[in-house]
Amino acid sequence: METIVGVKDLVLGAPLLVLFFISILPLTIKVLNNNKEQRPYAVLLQAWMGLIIAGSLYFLQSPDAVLGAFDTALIFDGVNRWMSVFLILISGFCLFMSADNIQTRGSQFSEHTFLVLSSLIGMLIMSASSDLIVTFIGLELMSISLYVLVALSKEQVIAKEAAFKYFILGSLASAIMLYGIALMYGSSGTTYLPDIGRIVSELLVEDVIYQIGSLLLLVGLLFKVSIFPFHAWTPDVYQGAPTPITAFMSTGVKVATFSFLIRLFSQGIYEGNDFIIQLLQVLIVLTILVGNIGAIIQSNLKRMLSYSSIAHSGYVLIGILVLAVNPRDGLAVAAVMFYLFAYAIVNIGSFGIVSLKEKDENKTVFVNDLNGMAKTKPITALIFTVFMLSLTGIPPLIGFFGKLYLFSSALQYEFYWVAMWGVIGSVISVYYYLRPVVNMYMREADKDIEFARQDLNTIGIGICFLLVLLFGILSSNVLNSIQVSL
Amino acid sequence: MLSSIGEIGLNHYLILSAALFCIGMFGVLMRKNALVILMSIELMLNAVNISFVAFSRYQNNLDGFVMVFFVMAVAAAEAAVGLALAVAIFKRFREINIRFFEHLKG
Amino acid sequence: MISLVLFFPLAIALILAFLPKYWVRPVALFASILEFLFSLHFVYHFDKSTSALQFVEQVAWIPQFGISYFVGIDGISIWLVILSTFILPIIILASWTSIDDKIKTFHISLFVLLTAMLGSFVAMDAVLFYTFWELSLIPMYLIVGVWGGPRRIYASIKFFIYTMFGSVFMLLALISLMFMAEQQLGQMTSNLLSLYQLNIPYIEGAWGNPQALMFLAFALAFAIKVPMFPVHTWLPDAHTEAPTPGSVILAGVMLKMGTYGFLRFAIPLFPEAVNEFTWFFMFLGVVGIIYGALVAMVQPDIKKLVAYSSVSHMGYVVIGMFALNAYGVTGSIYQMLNHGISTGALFILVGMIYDRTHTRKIADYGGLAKAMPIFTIAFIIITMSSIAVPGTNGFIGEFLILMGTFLSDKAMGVAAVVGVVLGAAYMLWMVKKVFFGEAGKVVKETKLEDLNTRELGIVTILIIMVFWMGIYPKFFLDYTQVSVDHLVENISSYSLEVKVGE
Repeated sequence: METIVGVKDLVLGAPLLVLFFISILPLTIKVLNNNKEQRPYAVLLQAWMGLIIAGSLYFLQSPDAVLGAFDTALIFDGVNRWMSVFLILISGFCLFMSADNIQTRGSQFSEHTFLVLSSLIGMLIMSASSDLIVTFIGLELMSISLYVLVALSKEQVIAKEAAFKYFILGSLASAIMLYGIALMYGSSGTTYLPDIGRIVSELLVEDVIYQIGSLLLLVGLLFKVSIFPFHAWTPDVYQGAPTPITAFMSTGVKVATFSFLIRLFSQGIYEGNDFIIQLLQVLIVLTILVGNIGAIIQSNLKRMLSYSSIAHSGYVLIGILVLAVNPRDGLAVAAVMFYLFAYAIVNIGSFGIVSLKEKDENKTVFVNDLNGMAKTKPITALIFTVFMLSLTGIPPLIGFFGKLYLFSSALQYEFYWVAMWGVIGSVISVYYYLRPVVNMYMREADKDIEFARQDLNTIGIGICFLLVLLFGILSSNVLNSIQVSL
Repeated sequence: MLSSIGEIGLNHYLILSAALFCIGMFGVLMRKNALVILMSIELMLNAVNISFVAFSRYQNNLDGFVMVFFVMAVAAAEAAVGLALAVAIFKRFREINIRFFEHLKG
Repeated sequence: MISLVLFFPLAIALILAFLPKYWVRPVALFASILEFLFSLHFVYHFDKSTSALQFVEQVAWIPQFGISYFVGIDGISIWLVILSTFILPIIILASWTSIDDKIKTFHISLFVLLTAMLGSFVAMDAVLFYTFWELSLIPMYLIVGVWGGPRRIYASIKFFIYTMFGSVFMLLALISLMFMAEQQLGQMTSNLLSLYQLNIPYIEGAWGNPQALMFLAFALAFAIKVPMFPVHTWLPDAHTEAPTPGSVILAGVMLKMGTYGFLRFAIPLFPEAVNEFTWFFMFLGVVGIIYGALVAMVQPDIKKLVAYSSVSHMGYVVIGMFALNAYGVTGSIYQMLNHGISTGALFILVGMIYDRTHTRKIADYGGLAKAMPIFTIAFIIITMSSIAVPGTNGFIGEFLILMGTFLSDKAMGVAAVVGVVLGAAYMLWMVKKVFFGEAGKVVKETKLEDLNTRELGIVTILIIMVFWMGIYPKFFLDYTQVSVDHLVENISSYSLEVKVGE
């Protein structure tokens, strides 16, 4: 029988293979050591070696090549390369955080690393896939690893509960998505996205089964990125999970899922589907409102950041909406990627600072815990302020440019209502983003703020901060490079 | 007498699949016992499997059959994880009724 | 040169962050004076005979959108730039003793704020303008929120959200303009000079009238900043709770950003819409004048009284602008400068007695003249400037505005004159209550010292400006003349040229 898997496939899939082997490495060492856990930094080193190798492998591909692996089940194009490298970076930073965070650095750190890397592989598969079956595999790999990661914390009660909630609702969403895939497969005869995209305009717009199927597929995906009304799990799960995992979830999952959404929409799966376009508009506005208003009443810092991430998903969805109208719009894709980039580095940095504050296993960080931080730790206060302001969308920080590009593409296609609510959401968000800033600068501390000694975490935060400042001013360079590779 | 029912076609399978899927969804959303919820999730996944098989059979396409294998493998993994989580919770709470999930509020 | 003046404060802010505490004030003062001297370069080399943009610098920033770093100065903006750089050393001097906590952060905020304000006055690219406009919110928010009075957090957040609310609609209108540029000019750009050339459709009487909607979006943002009635409610809170230097910079320069925005953006870009809404905005201006004056009269707190007087005075600026003739516009520009000096001075003076007595209630005062005679003289002179007594700068501004208004709409002119009388009323009433009459609580209980050398210096400089601008306005008006004439004559098809070479 002909071998369908050739050398080319192995070369293209090399990053995934490398990551897989590296992920088992710490576990293997642990087993060989009679179950004695290595020092966290050693595990970290091993993991980072793998990440660096995998990341560099992506650079071997030439910038504008569109390469298909495994009989084009995975497609590596410009968008995918950027997103993959970005996902690898995100995982790297989150591992930095985990190595230092009190809840994750315990005796199960090797398992933790294994699961993070597995989730990463799932994310990479998802962002590269162009076949519905492969997408499902990637999604499940990512999600199942995350279910366990949320539970894997020294803290007993809340983490397990959060994990179970995430598991149940996540599996429900996966099942719904799977049913959607089944229906789409049934009506089109194939699971290969470009092929489906081709037939969409001809036969399938009138086909009820296809419409239901594509809707269910979308629902499953929107759940993963916490769009209204599928957002209810987010605050609980984000709060319950250990902070490095929250950071990983809020950034990596979104980047991977939106990557796939870009692929989905730009293949024209929803082209001409007025119902979906209108539905998306309504959902975007409601998501932005729920996210922003929900954050206002939060006194728990992680919960506030989780509601804020709901709102930001809404903003990113605007770009996807534009793609629904015009699948070939390069600006919208670049805008989505840029915004995800801006949002992710700021989020990782913010959660990193929250992680710095968690000295005790069971102590949650409230917004009031930041009181007076400006006096005792001025640099951290400044960095956190910059992150908050970037999330608000104040120029000249990177968040503003992300919003500028997204709203521009929305206005280009005359989505006035959506753009308007987008900016109103930004105004509302000022209130809750500024509250920590107020606390840090304008209130007195009850007792001195102490940070745990977390060196790597600090380095990670510092890098994020520099990126935020740098790419705010140089945003056009970033945008340019993205567009060039499309 | 059986022949008067008519031939079993694609539609029958699809309706069966949809029915099972809905029952499963009802179970996930409405039931309180964690194990029952896990079972419902499995039910949903297998309902989708029926769909895949049916579509594949009636379109003479192998893709659906292949998908079923993947889904079964994934479902097994999910069940394993779910049960592990249920065990972890059971150890803590002595109960797996989700009524007790009240710690995360606000 | 503009970039130097624009970014020098940022560089200083960065340097200040690393200096030891002891050095911050002197270095800040020295740097701000240096910045002022730099800005005088524009005064010396300004070509008064042309309305073209001068000292232009342009560098591409985000080419995909046609956004560039494009700055320039013309007759309308030059004195606003000078006002900003002039006021900063005064503020630093004035806050020498009153701000004693976290002084590094304070001075850094001041310099960042200066860059933001200067940026919005010189930016000739719409997105660049928006960037600087929003940038000014953060340091101002910090200044009010950290060093302010008891309700400062409420006031600063109110200020922030209120202002930002207006600005975001401006952003949307701006983006629409950019797309319109792509359609009509073939290339997306936010370069203001190109935007001036756009032909923005104006559909009479329709709700979806693009020009009217965009005009209103811009106007909302600017009206909140000015502040115009009825979106002025953030101002009294902000002023009362702000520390003295915060109030000075707010009233002295930041409010002008709003009126400048009208002159630079709203009016030239949307001439037909302006025509339709002229009466409405003049009306709001007059309401602001009279309302501000009436409310000022019943204020028990001196600072709040001055705050409402600000609303009242900015009302004059608005009606002068919307008169849309040379007198009115010139008067409104001049009044912007006047208001900066005289209201800034008022806040400084109020701050001086507050530092001594820690109360601003008028009821606590009385008979201050006997205890602090020099202070009284200064206060009265500034009051005269505020009321527009001939000989002071205020008179020139108001006179020009009133002439312009009468030429445009007699009824409004009459109402404005009523405002002048009311203005005199509350100011003089306050002066009488505070300085003359029986000695009040504070005079009897506190040992009051008259102005010390530093304070005397500040006040003297300001008084000199009052009289210079009042007696020899020609010096200042010569610079603005040609640009204003150009604007007024060409309103329906406004365009600006760039002066090549320096």
